Amino acid sequence: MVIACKYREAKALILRKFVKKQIEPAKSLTTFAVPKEKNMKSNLQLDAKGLSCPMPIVKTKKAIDTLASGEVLEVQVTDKGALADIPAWAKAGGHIILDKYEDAGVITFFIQKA
Amino acid sequence: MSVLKWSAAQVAKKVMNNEELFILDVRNADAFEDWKIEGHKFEYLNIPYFELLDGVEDILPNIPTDKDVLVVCAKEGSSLMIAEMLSEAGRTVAYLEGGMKTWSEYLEPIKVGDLTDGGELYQFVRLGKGCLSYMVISEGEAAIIDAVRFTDAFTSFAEEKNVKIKYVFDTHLHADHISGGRHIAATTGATYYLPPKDAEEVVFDYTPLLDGTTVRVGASQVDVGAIYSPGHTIGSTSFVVDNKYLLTGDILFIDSIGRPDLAGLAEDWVGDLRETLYKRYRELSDDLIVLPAHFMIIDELNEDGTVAKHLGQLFAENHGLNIKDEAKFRSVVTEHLPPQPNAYQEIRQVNMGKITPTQDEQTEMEIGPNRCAVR
Repeated sequence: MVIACKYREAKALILRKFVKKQIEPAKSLTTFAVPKEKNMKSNLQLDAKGLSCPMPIVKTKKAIDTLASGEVLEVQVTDKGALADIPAWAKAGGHIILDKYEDAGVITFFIQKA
Repeated sequence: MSVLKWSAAQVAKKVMNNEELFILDVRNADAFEDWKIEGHKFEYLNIPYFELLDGVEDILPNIPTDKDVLVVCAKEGSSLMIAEMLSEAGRTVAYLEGGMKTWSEYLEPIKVGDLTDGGELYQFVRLGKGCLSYMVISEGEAAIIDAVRFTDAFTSFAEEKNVKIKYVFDTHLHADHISGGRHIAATTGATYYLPPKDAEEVVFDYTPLLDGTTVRVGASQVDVGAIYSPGHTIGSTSFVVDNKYLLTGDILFIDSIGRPDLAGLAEDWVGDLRETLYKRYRELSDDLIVLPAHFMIIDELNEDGTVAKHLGQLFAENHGLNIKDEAKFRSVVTEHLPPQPNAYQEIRQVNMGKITPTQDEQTEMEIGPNRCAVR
């Protein structure tokens, strides 16, 4: 049993001093900016709460299509996927995210049409 | 044309059989870059679904008609929409049922080899996350090592094989995925072992896994013996199974080595990692077949889908085992490390029993690759 012998040799190796671990405090999964302007004005509001991908984006696109350049759409979503997808979609279309914040699981975006 | 629905199991077969596949991944570019379905002969096109809302005509020339096409997204909804649009444009395509979420959870059990007196060793390959779990079976009994949280896969496999799960081990406190070990032990009455040095803060009862701890699976000669091998964590422990296989946990992989920083003490543990890889493992037989707890890239899979290689071969080929200079080794494993696994601090807290997230939250935490290695 060559390996069994190796076991014993390995066992004879020095016991390391145990180092007390420092556990960093758990961070929240997502962090949100506090709204810059709590009374930000929008030209159109869209409630996309409770919808799952791809519907929040599909509805957001349809809504923004009805606006004129420079006007602002306020959209509320609860799908976590929209958190990354809405900014990526906006960027691709040249729209500007003026603000976003979360309140009790509802994410609100203010999007200015390109 | 019709829209086909493919299960994760069907896609896994394509990976395992080295088949060709064209994947249209409609997640956003960051998500695709971070993590995708890997296959030896897979081709990819990444166009976010929100860029295709006005139609798919522009991308039709880029989508082949002479091979299978699979549309993939995070959770299924967008891929189904795009697949239907392609279908209306006259193409036959499939979408992945459950999306990347389901892909991340899929487990494929593969037999690694036979053990003494009719025993068997199985590797459970979690293709989407790169996690590898193990089941040792012998004479009506089973031991499980590094189980992931989809515990049904293990308990139903044990039932199918008509074996009783007696021992459940975790090689260390995992930071990239949520362990299913404690749950399996609780539901089957098995003993749950954890290295005490990784378990200082756990809030549940466990049996200490110490250097030299040995269990016999079944009545015959199939032994599972523990070797203390710190470095990825201070408690990291390896196993020798039936004097033939070396289960290395997250210390040694096929094409990389473990990273020492996920519990926040890289500088302190780099010496342990060096000692394990360059001294403890060197004293073991070259003929042992290394079975790690992860793979990072699809090239680490063998032809039969297993992830396994002789220890002697790894000493010859694995870059991380061939850094002669100690100072250089220290810098390789502590500097310029890749990003940590998604939500790794929360995952450690879950594995300590300190927090109990919902299934959906657990899924969110485990999104993305495992990132336990340094190359």
